[in-house]
Amino acid sequence: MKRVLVVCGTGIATSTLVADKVRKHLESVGIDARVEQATVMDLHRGASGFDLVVATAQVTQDVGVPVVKGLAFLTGMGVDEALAEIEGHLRD
Amino acid sequence: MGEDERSDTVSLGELVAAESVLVGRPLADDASAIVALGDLLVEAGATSADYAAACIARERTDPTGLPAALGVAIPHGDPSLVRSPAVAVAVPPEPVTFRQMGDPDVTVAAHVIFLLAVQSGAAQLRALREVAALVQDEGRLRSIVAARTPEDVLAVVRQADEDVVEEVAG
Repeated sequence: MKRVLVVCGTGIATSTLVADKVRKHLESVGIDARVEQATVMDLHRGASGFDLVVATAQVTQDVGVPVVKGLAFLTGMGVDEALAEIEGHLRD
Repeated sequence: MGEDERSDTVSLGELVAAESVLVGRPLADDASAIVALGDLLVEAGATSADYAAACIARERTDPTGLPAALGVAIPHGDPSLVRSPAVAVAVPPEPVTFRQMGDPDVTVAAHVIFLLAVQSGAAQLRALREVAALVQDEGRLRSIVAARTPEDVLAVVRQADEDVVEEVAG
């Protein structure tokens, strides 16, 4: 089981949307993953236990795992690339 | 997915009141837009009085401008200040400069601003999906920008209510 952390400014609005889309995609491609949400502030404690972070907010510090930008899921531009990047990190 | 289906029943149309739509009022910058819309949400009893200030603070650290065919911004703030979920909408005569979500060095000219007062992501998921679908729907965005009255904006939102599920699934 992989663990994905989706973060946004409030941990409520855009992370919910992005988590929804990431969860559905991972299901559809058969990757067993738990997708959780947090605020970008929570990341100051790092992302230990997670395999990947997907962020709509800017993440400037090193959180120890790859960070994929989640903006595509809101604008609709670059969604396939973002999904491929997420999948690539989780299939390692 | 099962959980989503049970909890995402509130549509965007149900969260936008005609009194919370500003059409044609000039808005100088992102903070002015948030204050103008925040006042409407306070008047509607949807948030506490300090919600706009919280949204502006959030906008400074985690901006919400979304680049699309027509730029959109979706400012929002601390969910604990929200009393009942609601969305206020501004369609200013000139776009308002916001910083881009995830990339504050980039600016977005926002033609439509949705001030989101969201309490729970799960409970307001359908409405959030509709906002995202609108951002990606140039035709509907242009209809909103062309609106002359709040009712015109609501008419577009109600259309979006009806087919958001299909749009977002794509």
